[in-house]
Amino acid sequence: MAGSGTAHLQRDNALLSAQNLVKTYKAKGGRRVQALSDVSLDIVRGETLGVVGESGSGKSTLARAILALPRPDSGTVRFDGAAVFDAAGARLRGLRQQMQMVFQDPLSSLNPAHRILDIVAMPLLVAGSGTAAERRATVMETLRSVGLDGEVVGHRRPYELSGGQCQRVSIARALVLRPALLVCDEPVSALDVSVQAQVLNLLEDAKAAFSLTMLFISHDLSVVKGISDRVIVMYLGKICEIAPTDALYATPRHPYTATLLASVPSLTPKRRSAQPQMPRGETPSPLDVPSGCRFRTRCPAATERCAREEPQIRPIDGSPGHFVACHHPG
Amino acid sequence: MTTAPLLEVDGLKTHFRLPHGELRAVDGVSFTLQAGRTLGVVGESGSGKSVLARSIIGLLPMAQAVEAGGRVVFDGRDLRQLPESAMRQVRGRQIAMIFQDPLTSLNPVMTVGRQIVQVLRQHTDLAPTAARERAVELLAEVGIPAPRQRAAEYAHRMSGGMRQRIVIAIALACNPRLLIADEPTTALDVTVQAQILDLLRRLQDKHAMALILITHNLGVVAEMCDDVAVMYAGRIVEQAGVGDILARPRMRYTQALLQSVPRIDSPSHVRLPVIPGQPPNLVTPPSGCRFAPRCAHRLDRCDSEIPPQSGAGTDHRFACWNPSPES
Repeated sequence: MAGSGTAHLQRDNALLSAQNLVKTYKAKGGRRVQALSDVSLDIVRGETLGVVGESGSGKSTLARAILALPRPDSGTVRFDGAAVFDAAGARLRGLRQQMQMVFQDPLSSLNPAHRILDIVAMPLLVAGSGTAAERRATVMETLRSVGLDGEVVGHRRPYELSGGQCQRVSIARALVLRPALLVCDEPVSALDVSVQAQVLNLLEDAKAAFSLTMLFISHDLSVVKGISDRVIVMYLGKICEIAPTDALYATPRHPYTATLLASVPSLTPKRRSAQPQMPRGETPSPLDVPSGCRFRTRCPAATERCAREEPQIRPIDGSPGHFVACHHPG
Repeated sequence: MTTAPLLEVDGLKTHFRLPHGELRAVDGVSFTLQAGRTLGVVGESGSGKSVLARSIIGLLPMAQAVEAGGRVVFDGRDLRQLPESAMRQVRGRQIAMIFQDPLTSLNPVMTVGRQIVQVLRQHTDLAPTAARERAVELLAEVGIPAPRQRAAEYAHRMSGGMRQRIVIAIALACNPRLLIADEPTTALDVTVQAQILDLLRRLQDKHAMALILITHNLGVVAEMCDDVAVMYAGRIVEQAGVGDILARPRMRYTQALLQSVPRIDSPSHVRLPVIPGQPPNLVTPPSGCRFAPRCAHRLDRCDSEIPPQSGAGTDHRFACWNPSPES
């Protein structure tokens, strides 16, 4: 299968380290969908780790599994040394305050009946921190840090704001507890291009201002390139490739990464020029994953070995921090 | 040497009646399209690009929509003057349209084969058996494997990419002379998008069909289009050949939009230039240039006077009082 193993883990300077995460969901007829199949990763303190993949790659399941929302079937996550899945009750709540999430659709992730001030204050209330006056001061300051004036928007409700403003509110809500890790699941996918740029800049600013470590999930390879220090490429619940951003985009080694990169339309006009070779087929159903390497059914380099044997993640000589799970890397 | 264009849209206005006034969704749009060419219409949410498409083909909710003016001349006839019965002969046969979400465009309780047969029976005089054979041919042409078996299946059994192929097969069933595609790949994964764009290109060349491609994705524009019209707040603010738009935009909105797109070939952690503010309210739009309130190069007259189209008679037209210098 495209990608098992733990050779790529850094061991020492990780803020969060996830090992062998497996998450399956029940499907009709007693069958099971393996959304996340033995995935390990670590997020180094202070970095932005990007995760790219298409529908069904397991990238959103990965984000949720890390936060135990819900817990994966097996595997471990250590956050700052503490085992997340062993924690319960107050200790789990304490850990979760350190790890906050921003979702894709800003409007549906905000309660339409609540005022912006209350939405942003809610995590503080749940955490039981401070007096009402202190909470309000923190909320106002956090709103200011995401470019919103609490005096102006604080008493409005989400439907009275634009999509970009709602996403700023989501980010403020995630930041109000001053977490160490921010997990962003497709945070700009629902936004127009001009607003997308505003939110991406805001995330970079927030990361610097609050000394955040970030896990940034997106299907958009250009957005991920802009914001990430390292990037993980996922396919059908497995990791294909991990590398520092520049190495991954300049010299992709997994055939799937290369296919993805070649599929992104560039801003160079080419309507009347020769067309390159097209990627083959579509992602197979996660109910019926191919044996061996999961990408082999679409891979131009697939051999008989790929059907038989699952490639393990292994380092690439001469490219530090670059790992690939492929029998025939490019 | 000029030939009469296949489509000429002239001063087109489509407004919507709202409780608090008239929303000017499309407000004076003009362009021409030659047979076999591809025009990209780009813009952000609310710029009017989808309403423009529906105005051309006459698919507007007539309870609220007001055809406030302008002409849509297709092959010598003004479609806005045609009665609905005549429009039904144009739609599907001469002009076809495909939408963003293939699942909602397909009938969930009818096999995909029957849906194609239905179109063929409506618009051609093919007998039932011949129409069924033609449907299988069409499925093969859009790259559906095992087309005969697939024709007997329902859309929910198919992947997003396959569904969009089915929608394309239905749209092309009667060899239309113009295809309007509204965000045809926005709901698809990037590897599937590449395949669907490739399919559209090949079919367009084969059938010498004109294409209006509506998209917010400037990369898709670069891949597909000959010419581009940039829409902002109900108007076309710039139109030119795709190379000029992407490399030498003159109008300030086009320029700002292009700069705010993250590019796969730019370095990481580079600050993206942003366009401050939001698009205007189209019930009470600014009286001058509609981009003026957000524009970094605004002059006094931009607030009060509508900028005229510069470059009339050339291939590069734009509406801006303070355009970026020609490079």
